[in-house]
Amino acid sequence: MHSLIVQTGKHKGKKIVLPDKEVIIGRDETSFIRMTSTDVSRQHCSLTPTAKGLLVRDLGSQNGTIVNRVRIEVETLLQPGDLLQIGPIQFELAGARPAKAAGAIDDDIFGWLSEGDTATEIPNSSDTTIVKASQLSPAPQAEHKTKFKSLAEEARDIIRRHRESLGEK
Amino acid sequence: MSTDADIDPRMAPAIVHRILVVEDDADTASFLKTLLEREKYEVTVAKDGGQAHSMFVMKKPDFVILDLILPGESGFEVCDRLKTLERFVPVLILTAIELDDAKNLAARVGADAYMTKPFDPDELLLQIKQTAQEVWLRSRAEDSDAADNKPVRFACKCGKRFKVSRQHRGKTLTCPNCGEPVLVPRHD
Repeated sequence: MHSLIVQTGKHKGKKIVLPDKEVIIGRDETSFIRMTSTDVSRQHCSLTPTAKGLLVRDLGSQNGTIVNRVRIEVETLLQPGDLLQIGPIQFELAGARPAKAAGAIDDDIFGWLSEGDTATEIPNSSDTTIVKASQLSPAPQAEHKTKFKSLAEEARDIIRRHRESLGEK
Repeated sequence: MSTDADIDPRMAPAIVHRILVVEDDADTASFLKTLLEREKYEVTVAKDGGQAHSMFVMKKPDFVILDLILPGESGFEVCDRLKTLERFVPVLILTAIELDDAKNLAARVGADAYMTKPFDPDELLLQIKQTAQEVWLRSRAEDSDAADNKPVRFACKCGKRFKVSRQHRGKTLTCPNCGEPVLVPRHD
């Protein structure tokens, strides 16, 4: 069972326990968490509980769904301690954060991360202030990856387009 | 175990001996084999990704010529796998696909050169030498970077940035932020 803790506004500190099924957050009256701000779309995003964490899916909202200060482009898995911003309100997924670090990645891989780059720093570091020009190069790669689920899928798409182009000639 | 693989790359010049040709078309494969053997290369031919992988492990080639359209696994995936095993074995893509996206993806999976079919045999032979030299120089440059202990910096698509040791290039880690797999880039 997941719960969100409101981080901003007059409901700050309030805990919202989520049911064990997919729920919608939005301005619509049928939403599980209803927000009246016009910055929030009628059906803004959905939250689905999974074994690995809480899956957030943006439902084509006008202003986007923000996770840890980054607008999500794809379905994103929230772990305890992650911040979810919808319109003016920020939520934090409740739970013990250290458990997340140990559970989400292998100890071996965790050891790769250099000091200062571990997951525990995420809530404190704003991505917009740290990005340097030299670090922007991976961005085009990220764009590609959002279009395709896997390398195999992207490869198939390219080969298909190649075959189509041969057919046209 | 091969002893060749244990030679310090800083001591060895970029000379290619064994070439693995991954090509499912029998005529093209035969043509390439004849052409390369005439140049005194030792040539092994693989018809698909599975054979390519086995031959790569068994024969320890020092150069790979790779077609992209193969039965089953595509050449992109084969390149990705081979480069995960051995980052500094040069991979030259030889394909009929001229799309820019194919060239970009090939670069992303670590391919070192890209040539389109039909090809000029002399140009291919030259390209093999040039590519081997480039990869060799890059391996030396990375060695000196490694000596400086410069970490690799990259970002997950969720925006989370990482800084990891160079030895993990080509490996995949799970982003602690979004749970998605992230590849540690092979090149800067």
